[in-house]
Amino acid sequence: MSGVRVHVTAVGPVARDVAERLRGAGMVLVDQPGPDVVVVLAAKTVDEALDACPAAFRPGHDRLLVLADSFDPAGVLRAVRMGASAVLCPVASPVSRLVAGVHSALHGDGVVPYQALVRLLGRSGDGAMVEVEALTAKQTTVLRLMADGLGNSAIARALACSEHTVKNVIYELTARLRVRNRAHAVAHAVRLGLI
Amino acid sequence: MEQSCAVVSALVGVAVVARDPMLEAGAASALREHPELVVVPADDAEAAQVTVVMVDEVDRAVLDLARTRHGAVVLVVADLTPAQALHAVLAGVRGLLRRRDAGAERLARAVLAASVGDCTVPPDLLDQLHGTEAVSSGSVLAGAGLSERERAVLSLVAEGHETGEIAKKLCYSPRTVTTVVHDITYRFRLRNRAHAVAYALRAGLL
Repeated sequence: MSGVRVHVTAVGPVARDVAERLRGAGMVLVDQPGPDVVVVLAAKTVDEALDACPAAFRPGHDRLLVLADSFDPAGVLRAVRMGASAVLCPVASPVSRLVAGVHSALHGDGVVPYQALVRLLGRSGDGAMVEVEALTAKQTTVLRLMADGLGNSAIARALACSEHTVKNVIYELTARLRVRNRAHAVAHAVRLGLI
Repeated sequence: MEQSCAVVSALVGVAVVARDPMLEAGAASALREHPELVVVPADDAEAAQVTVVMVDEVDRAVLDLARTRHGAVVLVVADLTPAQALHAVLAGVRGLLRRRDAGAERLARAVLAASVGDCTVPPDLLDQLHGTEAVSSGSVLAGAGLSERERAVLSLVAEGHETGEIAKKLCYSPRTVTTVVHDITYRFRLRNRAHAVAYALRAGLL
């Protein structure tokens, strides 16, 4: 498992200890991208991570692992197009997942968080995301479960909360998205790339 | 040290399902070699966090299995088109590998990735998935598209209209609208209208 060479560029406080965690797992940190080196970019968003990509990186040749806190569809697509072996995973993952990500990138597996992949599919076109009032994490989760066909009671079980709470969250998000019912809310959210 | 503890406590249960018993035995013995995996019987749905399904192509039976199987499904397929990959991902498949690419190590990595909510897709398909329309695969997956009437009804459902309103707009009876929606949800094994709308949009059917 050890001895893999990585080049780490991290932006921001959360990302800073990534290099140390990888070194702690037996990886060798190197100064420059190159053959058999996995380029690891870590930041809050995929776009910030990719913007920090070293000039020596050769898209389509060098191995790329992107670590981010959030994965917007446009960023995921950009990452996929930058590296034949792009792999994306959350920056705060346990070190075992980071190590797995490095190995997947090294071997060109192509790995993306499932939810980020599904969001990529629902987007209409490559245009910029429509600006909408941000949803809370809970509202987004409830929308996602509704899109998976879960009813109120199943959603309540999945989130370990009461059905009453679920109904309240749905009431709030239909008001915020200005939609008429559940199917409308889900359609709207898929089209905007919110879920 | 910290890592080895995590490994011991987090063995991932994996089952293998294949129509070809030699394939099944080969995959199971390859996965058994991996220190973070434990191979369990395919009929022990509770113990199998991930099920590796080995098939020649993505067909309806495979998609139904992916939709109904407890835990994550990783598909190993002889070959794969972007449209088939799209259907598989939308059916909930958490990993896609071409058989010729699926060496023991890569298969194990894909299984472990699936167990933590990641999805492995061949990089050349990742780019193409975006913008692929499920309709174009109609010949491969019979009934993969929507009829004109189904599309009209489902579009109105996606715009937030209820059965009565849709019936009025399209000059159908409410019963016909309900039947059309039911046909769609039954054919694609969907749970309700919200599920149907999300699926159709993501699959490029609407």
